[in-house]
Amino acid sequence: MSTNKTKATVPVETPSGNKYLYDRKLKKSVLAHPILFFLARLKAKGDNINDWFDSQTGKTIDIPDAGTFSKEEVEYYIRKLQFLEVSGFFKEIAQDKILTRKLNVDAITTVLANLRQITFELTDSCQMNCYYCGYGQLYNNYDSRENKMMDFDTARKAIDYVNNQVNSSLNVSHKRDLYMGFYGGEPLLNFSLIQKIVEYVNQLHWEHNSIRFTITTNGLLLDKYMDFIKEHNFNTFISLDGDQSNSEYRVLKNGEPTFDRVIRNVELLKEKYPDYFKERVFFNAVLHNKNSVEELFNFFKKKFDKLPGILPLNTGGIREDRIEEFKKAFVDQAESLNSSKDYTKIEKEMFVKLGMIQSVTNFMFSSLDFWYDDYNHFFTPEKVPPRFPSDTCMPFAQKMFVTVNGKILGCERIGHEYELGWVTPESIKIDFPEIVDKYNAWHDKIRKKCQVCYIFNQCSQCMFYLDLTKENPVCDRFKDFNAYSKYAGFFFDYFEKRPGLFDRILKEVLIG
Amino acid sequence: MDNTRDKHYWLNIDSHTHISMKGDNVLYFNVYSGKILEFPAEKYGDIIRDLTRKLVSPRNLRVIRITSEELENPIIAEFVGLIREHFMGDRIDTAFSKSKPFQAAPTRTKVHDDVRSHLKDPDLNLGKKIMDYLFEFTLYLNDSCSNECTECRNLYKQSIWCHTSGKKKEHNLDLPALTKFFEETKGCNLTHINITGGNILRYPHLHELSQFLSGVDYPVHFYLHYLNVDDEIEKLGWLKSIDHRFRLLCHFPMDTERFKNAFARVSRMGLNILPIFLVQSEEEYNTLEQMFTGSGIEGMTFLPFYNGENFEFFRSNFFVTREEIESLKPEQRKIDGNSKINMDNFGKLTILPNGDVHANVMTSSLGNLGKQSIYECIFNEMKNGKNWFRLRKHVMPCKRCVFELLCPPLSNYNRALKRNNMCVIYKED
Repeated sequence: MSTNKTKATVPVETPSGNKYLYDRKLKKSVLAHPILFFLARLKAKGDNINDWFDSQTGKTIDIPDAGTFSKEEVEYYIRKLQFLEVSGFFKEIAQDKILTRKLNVDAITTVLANLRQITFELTDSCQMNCYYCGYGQLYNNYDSRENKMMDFDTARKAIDYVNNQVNSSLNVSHKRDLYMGFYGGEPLLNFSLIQKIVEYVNQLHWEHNSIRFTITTNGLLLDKYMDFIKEHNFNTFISLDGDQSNSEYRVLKNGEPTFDRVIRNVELLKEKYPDYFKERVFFNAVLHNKNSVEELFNFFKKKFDKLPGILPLNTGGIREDRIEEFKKAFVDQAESLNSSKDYTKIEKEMFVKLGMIQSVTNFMFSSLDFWYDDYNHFFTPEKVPPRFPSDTCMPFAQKMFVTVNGKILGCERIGHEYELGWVTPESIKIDFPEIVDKYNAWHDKIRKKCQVCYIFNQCSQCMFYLDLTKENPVCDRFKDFNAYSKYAGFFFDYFEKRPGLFDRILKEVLIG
Repeated sequence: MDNTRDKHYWLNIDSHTHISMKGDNVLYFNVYSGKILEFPAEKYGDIIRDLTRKLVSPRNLRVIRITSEELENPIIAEFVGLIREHFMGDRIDTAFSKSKPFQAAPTRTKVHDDVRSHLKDPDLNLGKKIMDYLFEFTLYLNDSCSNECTECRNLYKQSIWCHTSGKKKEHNLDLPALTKFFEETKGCNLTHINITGGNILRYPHLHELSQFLSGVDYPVHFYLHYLNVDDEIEKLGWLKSIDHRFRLLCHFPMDTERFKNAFARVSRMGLNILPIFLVQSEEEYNTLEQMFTGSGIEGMTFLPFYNGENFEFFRSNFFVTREEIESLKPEQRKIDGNSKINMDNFGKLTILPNGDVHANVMTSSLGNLGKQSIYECIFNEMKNGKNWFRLRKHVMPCKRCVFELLCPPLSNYNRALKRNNMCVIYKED
């Protein structure tokens, strides 16, 4: 057997003792009688089932941890095992033949033509000095903050470039929303540029897209600019970590709390534009040791009748000398939720806004044969198309992020060292062949490990959160046969304990 | 283990078992083996229907508790025996675990980008990636033809065929429309396109067409009636330089010698020729078989044609039986597909010589290339869904039948026959 082949069928046992055979290739599972489960494990070890059966001389057969069974009953499950085998279970997956995809220039061009979002870091300046800020004291993977303001020329060049790309016939959508995002620092500190961008974007011709605007703000200047924001129907994401004590980390440069000012502005927005507030205003809260999932849920629900997005502290680019500090502040969402008094209610209401439900959803999406990508998937041939190692997005698949320094990145949540291009004084410089070389080199670094990882086709690991400076980056999510069995068992257990959740996810979760 | 009276079991149905309940009938279908089990009320009363209803409830996820006493009921015992015999499910002693298990089985078919389910929510993009859904085009270049085939008005409605409108004014797909087509479909993943007419040899922009086609990476299927093969055929010599299939069209009444000459002529040009015959009766089929056995002509396709009078020919040869479904073993993907899209029509568009774009030539146009983009035309079909989303669950009597998702999708034959079920399975009340 090639070392790069993994077993497709994995026996899975939940803490309550239920047993399943899950096939990663067919994306099917079977609830298994203990005899069938036992036989499958024998098979997984490489034993010959018929030889094993012939060696049983008594009238009955002892099955470990299950009991004593008649030979007829054991024979039935041997037949069922053989049926499953004939039907495609117990094969091997040649992951080395699947994880072969190489990035090429055409693929990037196509992704760019179908860009979903361009986000501008309008300034690196901010009135606040949040303790956990991704551009703050705990991290070292960003360009230095120098109170810069992006100028219109930089933004215009990026917009023109995107306009040209998305208007091509490689764009396969019609009237699809293309988001223009404003980010910072605090983007409202550069409000005049927002005005200019909105005006400019609205006068351009967008062949295949409808333009929408989105802003992420700390809320301190909302009172001044809410009319414009409402007028242009921005999706407004307000960063707030809960009530006054929950928001202790969100302070001004001089250490003063910001909570009262932000709340005042949010209430003003709600009062002045109630419909807009209901439809287009969202809250993002960072989870840390000053708040909890329960407190966040209660605060936003009672105060604004909203459910917040709950984000973890950024785990990439932490300074070595601050790791301990980071660990103190970091709180795992699932653990926080588990310690809630109102656990069931919160889980029911927050539903897919919770990281755990998102993980469960992702597990379902990637592990069930009846959850399809799109209508074309009904026709897809059985042969698995080649794929990249890890779950890293293709360049620009999520968005184009333009920093205040004119750097072009694939996302605001990855380090600034992974730039994809620049806005230069003359134009946009995106060297496609160079991006291709870089990505393929990074992929090569992790490919070998992914080739024997059982989670390879359910992976959610972005490679930019690994230490790519190392020759063999370590991935904490790596799963061998046994670890995968436990991993799947965790999710199966989750469904066993929550009747109705499985169907609710199928029914309600739309990933647009 | 002994079956004592106070024992409890988890009765469960495997995820590879398709279950359907309609009216008084319940169907279990093993996707892997193709085995069908039916439990009609006339034989099993309400017991199996009630049991199945509980099994498929979203909270039970195909696992219910059942007692040994219940298992002694002859009907349930027969049901469980059959389910186990055909590896569709099992019963497992509840003592083996501390809580209820589940089956990761479809309570509904889920599509990530299910734009049809977004119709009421404008925030979710109905037009998202729609060009990716396009994989087959049929271009009617012109409607000019000198032949007077009696069924010309109807042939093209049942299969891809040549067609002339019979009107005095002739149409040719104009150059701007042709250019627009190739420009807009650049980013699509077309599996192939079909090019037909009229008599395509009379199309005035064949040269430009050849230039467009020299740059495509999908096969091109050309359709020409054998009676139209004459000296002009040399105009298509350039086909050799592209990936093509040359579909030589033929139907009765036929001039055999002329067909053979046409075939020979096209073959001599080195084209990849594949004749298609329309068949309206068994006699025609037998005649063709005799005629071409040993003739050296290969790659023939026979397509049935409903002429309004040959229902019996269709009924005895093309109506689906239960046994055929068992032997065809429609896979999970196909069954799920049948619940969401019309697997035959989906992704296919036809452009007529006047530029009208249709999802189906038997239904109204989605737009015209002179005024609308292909994007807009597809968007219209996605939104209104008269063809790509024409499903058996929407029509009688199929929506009452447990075989609804196992049968082939609705096609234009159904329209021609004015009958949705082309089967001998569904029994009218």
